[in-house]
Amino acid sequence: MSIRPIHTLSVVTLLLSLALSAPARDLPYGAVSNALLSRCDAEHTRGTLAEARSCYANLLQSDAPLAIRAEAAWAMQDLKAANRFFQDAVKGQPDNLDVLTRWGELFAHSHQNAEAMEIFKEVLATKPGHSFALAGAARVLAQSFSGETTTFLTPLLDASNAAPGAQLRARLLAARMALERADIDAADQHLAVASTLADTHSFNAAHVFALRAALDLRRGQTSSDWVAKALEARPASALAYTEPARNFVMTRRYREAVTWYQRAIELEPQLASAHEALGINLMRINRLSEAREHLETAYELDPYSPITVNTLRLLDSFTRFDVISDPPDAKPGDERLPLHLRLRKDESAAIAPYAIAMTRQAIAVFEKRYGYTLDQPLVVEMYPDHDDFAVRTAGMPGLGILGVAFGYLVAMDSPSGRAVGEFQWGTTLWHELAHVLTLSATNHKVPRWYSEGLSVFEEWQSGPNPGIRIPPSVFEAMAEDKLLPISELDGGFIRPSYPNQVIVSYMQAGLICQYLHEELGDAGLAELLRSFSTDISTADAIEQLLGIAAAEFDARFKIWVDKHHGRTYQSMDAWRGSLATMHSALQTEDYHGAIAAARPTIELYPGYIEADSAWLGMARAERALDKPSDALASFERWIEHGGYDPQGLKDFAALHIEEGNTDDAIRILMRINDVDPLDDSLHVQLGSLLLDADRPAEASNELTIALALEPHDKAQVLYLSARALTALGETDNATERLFQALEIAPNYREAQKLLLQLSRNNH
Amino acid sequence: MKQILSLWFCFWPLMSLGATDIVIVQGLSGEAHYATQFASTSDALERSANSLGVSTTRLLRGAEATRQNLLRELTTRQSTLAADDVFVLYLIGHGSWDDETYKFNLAGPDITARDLATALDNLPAQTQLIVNTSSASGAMLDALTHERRVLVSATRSGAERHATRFGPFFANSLSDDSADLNKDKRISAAEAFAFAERAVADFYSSDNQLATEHPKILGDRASAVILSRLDRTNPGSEVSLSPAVAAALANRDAANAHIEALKLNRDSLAGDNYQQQLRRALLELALAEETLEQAQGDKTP
Repeated sequence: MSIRPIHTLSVVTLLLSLALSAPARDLPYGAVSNALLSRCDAEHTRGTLAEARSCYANLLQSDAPLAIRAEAAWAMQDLKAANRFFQDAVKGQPDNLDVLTRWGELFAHSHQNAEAMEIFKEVLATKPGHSFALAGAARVLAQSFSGETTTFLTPLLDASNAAPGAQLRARLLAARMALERADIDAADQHLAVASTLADTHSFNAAHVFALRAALDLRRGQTSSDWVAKALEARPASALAYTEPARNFVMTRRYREAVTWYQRAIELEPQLASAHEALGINLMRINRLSEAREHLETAYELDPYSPITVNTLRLLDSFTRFDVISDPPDAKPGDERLPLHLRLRKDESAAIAPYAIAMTRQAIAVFEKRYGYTLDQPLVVEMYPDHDDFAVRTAGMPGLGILGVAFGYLVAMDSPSGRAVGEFQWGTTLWHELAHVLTLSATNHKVPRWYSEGLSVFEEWQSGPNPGIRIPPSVFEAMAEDKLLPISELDGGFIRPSYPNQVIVSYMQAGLICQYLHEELGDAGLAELLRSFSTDISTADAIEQLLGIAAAEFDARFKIWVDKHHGRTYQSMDAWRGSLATMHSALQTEDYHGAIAAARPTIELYPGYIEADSAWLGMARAERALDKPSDALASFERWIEHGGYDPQGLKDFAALHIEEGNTDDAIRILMRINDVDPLDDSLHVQLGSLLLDADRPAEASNELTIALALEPHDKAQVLYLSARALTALGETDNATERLFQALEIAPNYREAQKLLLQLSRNNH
Repeated sequence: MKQILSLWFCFWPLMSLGATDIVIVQGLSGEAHYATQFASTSDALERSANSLGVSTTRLLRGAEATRQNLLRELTTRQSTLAADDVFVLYLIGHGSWDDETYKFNLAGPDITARDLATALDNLPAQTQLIVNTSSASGAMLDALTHERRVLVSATRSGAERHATRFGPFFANSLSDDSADLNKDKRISAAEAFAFAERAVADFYSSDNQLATEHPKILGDRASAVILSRLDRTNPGSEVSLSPAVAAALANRDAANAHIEALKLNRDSLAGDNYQQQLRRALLELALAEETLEQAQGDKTP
């Protein structure tokens, strides 16, 4: 096997991005063996920082091996020098995999995970069981929640002959990951092994204690003695605070996270990563100016953190956004929940009316169903640039989700953030608003699966586009028996083990809520939600609610899934075959054949409603065969199942118009607003139809939105708007619109006629 | 006493321009579906040209569409066009760009941007519109830029080499009411371009495709070049007008002229003053139009 030599390739990259003030160097836990360095590290660990600094400085000036001087430079946060020493050390000892691995750690430390992984993989290609390379690779991958993490982690957890320090690091990482997926017992077990390893091999145990503190807090304790123990073990290290803070971030308890990060920077004011995390979490609770201060501090300390830089740029971009409040003078303590929308200026007028109405409607539905009243101002942000949304959420671009709720702050893609038809912004907003309630009602303690499950359930049940929509990939997972036990379902969201597991977990959680609702109604869902406001495990909550063990619940749920969806997931091949036959028939204009193929396709999988669905194929074939009533019925069934494709909706509306059903056409076109509210021609068409249907108030709203979108034929929209205003008796406003129309198009005859009519009526 | 007027010329002109002379060139198509597309585009342009009534139109297609014939047509017009005439050249087909030379593909030798520039520079018409719907047509812009010329290309540069969608949209705009933004029942080059540019963008965005063409327009007289009429009532015909109708027409034209003058002088008028005068003028125009309609309704020779 040929290995690409990378020793020299990455040097330039590292030099470009190294920071003088990066976060403190982690303890090596035996990855480096040198008595002088150990002495310096011991001073640092004891918190005698001046002595430690002096010790490292002396080591740096000594004739110690290059790799040791690299460690000293790293400890003094002179990363450029550390890199030079490592580079020379690797040149001098190309076969020393330990030195190469430490160089990889330096890359990881300076935000260059890809380069670090290349080094770790190179080391592992030469020596497959290299303990610290495995530990380094696992840590890097865990940062991005990669499912590949276990590939590198498991060998260290299983092998007792691995280097003890690497084993310790593996246990710490495994404990963190167990905490992320709420597996308290597993975290406890990993930390027990870690404690033994630290005791046996005399490693500093501060990190073990810090994670024990996080574990205590995760169990619902309000404080933990382990914090003091961690501080005692490493008095100058903020680990005692950052690990609990991190745990609060993972459990979406951002206010608590902020408090713990504030403690961290009080102890370690130079800790860039803590300032960064504090800034980001302050943003999540809408404390933007404080967030900026900490992000700027983080930038001064470590200007090469992409997360800090991206987030500061995002904050700068907020000047291009409007903040629209409802009520307009909203303030905390108002009887009506204050709502603040942060929308980019060029979209705000078009989106705000729908977003406000939908948010109010969602809140009313959720508060009623779950018996809980929201009591904090709610912020909804929509980003036309998906990468801005991704930075808002994770600090980095490239995120695959559509929206996120940080409590009373929702951030999501704006309708223009994705291609038309790619997502339903209304449904996404509905989903995130359900999170606002479930998080608030449980003080953010609701497990991820139940929060996501209720959000999906509400999409299907009460959302702007109701209908149970389950993608084919989820049915395929069902066929392969990949649904998780309910008590392990959180893991499917946080650290998926196969490509589609996140979406499978969303759908499974939604179906569980659907099942519970069928069994226990609204009251059952509300009761389960309330139970999660205490620190209760999923298994205990299920037992409390239903009186059965989690395993029994899983068995009953499986029977329910099979009853309702068994036929579909067992027939995916047949479904695909008949769908393909229908499309072939449509292509050759064999419309009778298309309808014949569409029927079994629909029967097997009625919930498939995408643009290529059998529902739409059948409607188009029926239309081609001049059977408008049949086509209208097919379109209607498609909508009942959650159809939302904008072109399908437009075709449906066009058919209603052809058939003279103006009210139905309006009803259908209004659904497009939940998918593509920035289509000015849609608002004009709707405005015009509403005028014809003698619904001037709604027409006026649609036309006002169309005007905000700078329509192609502005004079026409102004004229239509004037007609609506005239019908509403707002003649002054109507006259104003007419003059605006005529300024663009002086010879616009219809506008002239209406102007003269209004002018004469006034006199 | 009867007045003899051309109804078309009575309609308020944005600029005082002479006759319009239109040459349509349908280039090589290659594949059959392009042949169909180019033919229907050329036909639509020819129909629109005919709607102007008084224009001269020449369509070169098939074996006639050669470099030699096109240059001959242009040379002939050196003596037939007057300075106040409008000359329009439509190029419908494929183009190419080799990083140095733009060529429009014709039977036999292709015609280059430089060939066209030389021939067009020699035309006396002070208002010229060149609409090139070909791939890579943006590459012709540099060579053809001239103060008296409006240039429309389907692509912004020679680097956009894929076959374009712009041509059919541009041609369709000339018979589409929704392209008539100023509601004067005529489609100007500016209106046709705005319509087609938007339609191209909508096409690529609704199809979720990366846009491979970005239309471009250069020159500041595009609003003055009228390419079609939407009201097809006796275009260009001479009719007898009653004194009442003639007077009403004169009033309407005067009102239009007043509005145009106000808009041109907007910067010299204080905000409120401009709006007040404009609104008065718009009302006068509306009244003049009403009077004209009434006069036409009960006209008696």
